[in-house]
Amino acid sequence: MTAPPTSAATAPLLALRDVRVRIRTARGTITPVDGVSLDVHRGEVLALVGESGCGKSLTALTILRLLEPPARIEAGSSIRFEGTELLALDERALRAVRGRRIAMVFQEPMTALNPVHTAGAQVAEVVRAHERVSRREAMDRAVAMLATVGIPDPAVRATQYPHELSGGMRQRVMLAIALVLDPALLVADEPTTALDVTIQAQLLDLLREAQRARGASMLLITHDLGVVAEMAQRVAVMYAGQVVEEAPVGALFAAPLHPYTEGLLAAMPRAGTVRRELATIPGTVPPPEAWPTACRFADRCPYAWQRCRTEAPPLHDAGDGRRARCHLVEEPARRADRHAPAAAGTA
Amino acid sequence: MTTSVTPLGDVRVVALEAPRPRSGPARLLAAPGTRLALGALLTIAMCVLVLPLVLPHAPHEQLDLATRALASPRAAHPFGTDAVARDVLARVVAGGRVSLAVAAASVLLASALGTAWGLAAGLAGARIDALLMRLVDAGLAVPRVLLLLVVLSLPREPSLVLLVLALGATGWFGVARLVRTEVRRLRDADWVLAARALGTSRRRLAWRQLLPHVLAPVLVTAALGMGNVIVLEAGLSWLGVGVQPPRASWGNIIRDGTDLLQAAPWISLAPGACLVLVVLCCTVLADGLRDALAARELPRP
Repeated sequence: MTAPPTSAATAPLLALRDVRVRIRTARGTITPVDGVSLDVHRGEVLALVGESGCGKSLTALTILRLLEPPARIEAGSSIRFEGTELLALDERALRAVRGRRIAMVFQEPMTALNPVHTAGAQVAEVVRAHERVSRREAMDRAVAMLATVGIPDPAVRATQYPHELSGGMRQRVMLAIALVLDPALLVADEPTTALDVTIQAQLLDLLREAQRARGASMLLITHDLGVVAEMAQRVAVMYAGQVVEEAPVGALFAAPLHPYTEGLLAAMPRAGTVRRELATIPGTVPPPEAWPTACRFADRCPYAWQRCRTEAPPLHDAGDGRRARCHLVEEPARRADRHAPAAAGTA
Repeated sequence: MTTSVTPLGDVRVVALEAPRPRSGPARLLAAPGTRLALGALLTIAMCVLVLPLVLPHAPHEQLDLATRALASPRAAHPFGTDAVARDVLARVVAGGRVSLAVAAASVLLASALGTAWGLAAGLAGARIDALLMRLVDAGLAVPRVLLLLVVLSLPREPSLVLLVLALGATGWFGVARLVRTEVRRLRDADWVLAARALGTSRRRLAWRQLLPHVLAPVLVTAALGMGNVIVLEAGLSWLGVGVQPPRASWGNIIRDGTDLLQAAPWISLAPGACLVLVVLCCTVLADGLRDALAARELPRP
């Protein structure tokens, strides 16, 4: 068996093992993140892909332990970062990691900035929360960072409030906040979803440049496979709280192993192909309280057979750094038997 | 005949300039009512500060009882004199000092207490929050005047400091509830999560991120509370447990005049008018403050 080339040299920067999040609700306990294991290596961009409600944003919040009751990280979960078990840290030690070693970029630049502080003050605030520097020095660093993320006239912009800035500008400010302390890992949760397409492209370029120039790693959470192709080296696909497929980007796009990934790719518009109707995956992601006990995708899967409804597939290792949670890895011959999924009739 | 197209030669592009965001004070003073209220309050404050230095009579000074008692308003005594021949103007001005100072100090105390309590409850977990807020409920359930009467009638002569402490300690429950509700609402904002994700401590979050938001509604309630407390202090002084004679306050001057309302209505009238004016101005100012501060906030999604 060959190990993935990136992990051969060093231990991963971030390693999630069997992470489970439970939420107690009035209608019973749900497990929206159910046994997720992921590695992010140094200098690597790992994309975490999935539909809304598959648990990808929750996974991001789990890494920095930002979940609040009634959500709980189950015992037996492990999140190691730079050799430290994050789940064992106390609040104080955790704060030292947040913002300084791991920084988050949020989806909504409209609401993720505090409306009562100026852009410069918000960048400076992170510096002052972590380092003993004067107000003045923090502000100087903030202005320099605003310049780095491509904000024209940074000294002026630094004195403006969020409502005086455009959406793209605000997202750049968010990026400046995330990058100002030179974190080893960026967790970007749908960083460009709220922006229009031209600004999206600019910001993705900026994000990639910043990540490369600083040698940082990135966990990029997105539902947009176009963004994945452009930004990431590896992809993990999540479905119903589990990682269902993990692969290098090229391999995944060329030949997806999991039927869900196949469906996602078929649903993506491509340039250069004859215009036809885009495929859709029948049915919807079931809510966490209604997840099937065997394969969670079986009802929507065009290959599903008896085994899929009785036996939960493990995350099979398919070699070349690829893994897939599907019985097809063991019985590839079944790929020939494509039929209408069970959910097609009911959806 | 061909259809002609009117050339667009004379169309001018008019740039609609967005109104520049004005500073808070400018927005506050834009409303004429607020301007008037603020002006009146400042004038009254100046009067009670400066007039005692220039008036011919001291507030406790008894003039000739035989000739000057219960004198109606005239040039020498613009507000007349009272039953023991003291100049009512001198007493109203001195009483204003006491009334306004007591009100300001106790409102400040109540606002600080309520804000701290509300922030603590708002950021605490469910159980601590419930405990803190039930205590506030208990405080709100007891009639404030009753509580004050009990506390202030314990010592033989309640001092001004005790009065301020009592008024402050019974006035913060509403502020705490307001702040706590505001913090609970803000807690779910993305920027609070973002601040936590960036390693901001709970204390820093409360102090630097949340406090500026809750200060606006606190300021508005403080302006309203100011009017409220002036009336309350007057009421307590009227009942004899507030400001103790011979020290004047608007409340005890009004009480001095109530027995003589028919013979010498001016005694109660002057401090009463001042009281109404100040309370009215506080209310108008609170209203203006609310409008000015609301304009600062972005529309919420």
